[in-house]
Amino acid sequence: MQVVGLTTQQEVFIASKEHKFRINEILKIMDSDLENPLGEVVETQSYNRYIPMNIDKSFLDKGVIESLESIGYNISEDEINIAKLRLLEEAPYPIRTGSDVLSPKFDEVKDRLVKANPDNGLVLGVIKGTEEVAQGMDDHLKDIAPLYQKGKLEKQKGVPFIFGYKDMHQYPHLGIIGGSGSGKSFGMRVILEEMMKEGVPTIVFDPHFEMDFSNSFNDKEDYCESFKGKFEAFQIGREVGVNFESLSTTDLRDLLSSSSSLSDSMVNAVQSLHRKRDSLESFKGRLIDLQKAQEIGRKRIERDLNSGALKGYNKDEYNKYLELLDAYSGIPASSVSGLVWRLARLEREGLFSHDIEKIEAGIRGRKLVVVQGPIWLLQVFASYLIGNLYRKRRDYRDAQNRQEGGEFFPPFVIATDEAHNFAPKGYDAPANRVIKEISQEGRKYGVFLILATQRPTLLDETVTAQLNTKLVFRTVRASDIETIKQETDLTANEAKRLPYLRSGDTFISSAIFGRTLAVRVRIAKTGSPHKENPFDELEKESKLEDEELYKAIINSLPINETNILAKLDEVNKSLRSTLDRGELLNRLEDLCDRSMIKKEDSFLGGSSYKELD
Amino acid sequence: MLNTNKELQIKIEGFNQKMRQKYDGRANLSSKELKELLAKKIGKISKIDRISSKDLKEIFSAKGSLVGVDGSVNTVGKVYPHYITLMQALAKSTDQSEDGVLISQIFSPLIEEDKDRIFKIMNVANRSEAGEDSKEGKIYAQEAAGRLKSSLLAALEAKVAIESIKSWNPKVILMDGSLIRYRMQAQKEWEELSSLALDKGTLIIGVIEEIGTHKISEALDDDLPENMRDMYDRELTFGLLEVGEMLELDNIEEKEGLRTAFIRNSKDPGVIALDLLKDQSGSLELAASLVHTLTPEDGRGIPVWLDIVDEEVRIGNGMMKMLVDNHLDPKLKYRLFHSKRLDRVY
Repeated sequence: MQVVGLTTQQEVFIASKEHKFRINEILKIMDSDLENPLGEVVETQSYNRYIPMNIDKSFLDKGVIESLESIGYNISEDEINIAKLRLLEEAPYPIRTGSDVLSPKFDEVKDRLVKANPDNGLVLGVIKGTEEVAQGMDDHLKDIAPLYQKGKLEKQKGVPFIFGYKDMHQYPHLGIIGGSGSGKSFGMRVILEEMMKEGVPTIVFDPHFEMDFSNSFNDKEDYCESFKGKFEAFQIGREVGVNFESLSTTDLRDLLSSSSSLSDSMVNAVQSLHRKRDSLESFKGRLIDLQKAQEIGRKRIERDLNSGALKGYNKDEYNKYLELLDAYSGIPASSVSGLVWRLARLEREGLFSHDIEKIEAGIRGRKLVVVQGPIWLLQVFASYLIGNLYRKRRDYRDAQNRQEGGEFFPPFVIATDEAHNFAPKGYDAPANRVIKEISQEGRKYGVFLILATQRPTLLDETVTAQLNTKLVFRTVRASDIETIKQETDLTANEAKRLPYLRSGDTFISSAIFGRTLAVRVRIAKTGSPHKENPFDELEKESKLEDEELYKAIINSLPINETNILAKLDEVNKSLRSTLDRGELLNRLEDLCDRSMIKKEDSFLGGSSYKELD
Repeated sequence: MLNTNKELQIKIEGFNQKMRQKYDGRANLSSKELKELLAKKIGKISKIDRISSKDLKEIFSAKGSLVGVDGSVNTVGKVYPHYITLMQALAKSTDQSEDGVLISQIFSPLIEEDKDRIFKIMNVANRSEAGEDSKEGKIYAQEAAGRLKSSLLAALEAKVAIESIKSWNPKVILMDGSLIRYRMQAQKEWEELSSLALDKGTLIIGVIEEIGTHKISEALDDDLPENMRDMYDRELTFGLLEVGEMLELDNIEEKEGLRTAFIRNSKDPGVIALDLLKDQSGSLELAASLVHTLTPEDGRGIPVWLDIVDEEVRIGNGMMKMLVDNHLDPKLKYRLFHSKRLDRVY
């Protein structure tokens, strides 16, 4: 290997006849004046000067190439491999052309590739192009990050990528960017598994109901691990919910707007109707009473009161209606009824029948807490939950700073997929404010974000700018690639590769490493609950149904036009559902199509269904 | 194009007219008649077959048994004696594990020894030619330098061929150009090479890309129509042979000790020539088949192995410039070789 051609302080070309260059491979340039700088392969090419890409001039035909081979000359072996090498650190002056190039020893690159110990870092995958360097790697770095390649578990060959999560104190927040199918969710899963391993309290918002860590991934026996007891999954409205009394008016407004957006007058109505420390009952009662009062109408209430027809309870009630009408005269009836149904919808979801105590307990117990729910509900709930927990942590830290004791509340990490829904750019979403605040201030209080999104362009810019480490998976959309280019130190070359990355391959651009690394994410220890293809599921289910029917009819065969009604009874007895004559005939036809039974023309006319020979 | 001189256009058109008269339809001799005439008077016309891969393997069963030899020369500076010429010759074997024999040389009239040799050549030539009492026969230093240069290159090529026989004992050596060139320009090395080849049984084939002779018209003379009598061989044979056809030059005054044949090797209508040692002329058919086999059908008719050797040995202008720029003092370079033409503004 040798440096060839024109060199600069940042980049050189190297050529070799024997060595085939791998992208991202790290190599050492033996230029002693520059203390043998290291570089990374960013572009590779191969060239054979005897097989040129030339249309005008004669091209070697197959016959001649074969003849040469018979004589013992293989023209394809005259290939020259060329690589563009980017120096890891800019040199003070250009590299000497002609310098030798070697593969470095592990010790020479260790500091650049390994920034944390596997024991106190997140082992996320393998740095690509480090296979050769990894030969002399320390034992504790070996066999900790097997890969998933072409449907099989593959032993770790390169240097592991270990993310020192404690460094987040200095370089907070993590972003995961990538289109669907790029391995983004998979990357998130691996990160969360590692979080559990380290016992970092984490809240995960899971709109896809996929963050379950109890199934081990396929049958990779020697690399599966149960995370039972290290995580808990709660569904909004089932196990967790909102304590109505602790809601601020803004929270309540956001909650109500989550099911369907609020008009200005509805917002106005919430603001005037909601009082501090309102319980669900008191607020709902006020709302419904007002609705009723508006239905009856001021004129009729006044007339009935004046006529003296009302006595006792009824009279009190009418007086209350009148008070409400006086107090909230500016609120139109349509707004009130709009609020009534929105509130009822949230209540039906069970949102108000639970609280967040279970989540708090999980966080305090250093667990990973998964909160599941539909995305519309999750957004408001997230705003409420994060706001609450963040306040607790902040209050604790602030108290500490003021030398006042207080109940300990642990630092924690918030992780979510579809982050652009939680902190969108350009419009206000319920959780936007609190996520923005954490992105800017969270570091101070030990609250960190892991935000995954397929549309970085739609994510709030203040938030994006604060993500000090970004995992960039395959991205096809040009506008997103543009955003990624602006927000990371990915080079133009790397950005060009983005649409072609394999699922599970990622560029990690991190302030901790100071440069972009190409990494293949390790195999996950656990699997998503939705890994079955829905179409396979369809096939499986209908097969089951066929088999059930087959069992039910097999003893009743043959079935023909004349005996079908008698047989129908028999068959229905051993089936879970009940068929009528037509349905049974249809299903028998289906079984014939699948060659499970056969059909013969009956001498009595019509067809006769029989068992296969 | 609008600004081209009208007169130049007319002159070119005039030339075109004359040439058309001369070459169109080869006057009154058809291709068939010419071919018959050649077969009768000059030598056999036969069809050459490509050698199958299996047979090739058998013929070249030993490793590295085909060698290609070529040389390259490049010069910095234009006007005598202010130039340096670099030359190198390569014998490359088809065995990829072998490196090839490469010998290089520098030549410049500025070097004392080279200057002495130039003057020696000049003196010898002028003395002998002066005897014929002709003023035009007198040659000048630059011409003598040119002769010396070519003979040095021929000698280099012969030397690498000799070395290649010594190290690999190849079956066949393909040389770029006529063998007569070596005999004329590097007699000593040529004699060594030819006797070594005969001794070891190495078949030497000279492959001539540009045929510059007019032996056919000389030999046929009166048998040809008037306007074809002074035609060169390449003109006469252009498009005459079919692909894979060979014309042996039997009844022609031999180049001394050599045997020559014309072959059309590819779809290109121009023919090439092969030279063999007379003592090896029994292998002419094998030589022709081998050359034909190694030539791409759509190519210009030269076996690809020679192209590969040529590519490897070539001292390109870029390489030359790099060598001179990196290893010659800029001051010297400017003083000795800089050409004012290069500084033209337009």
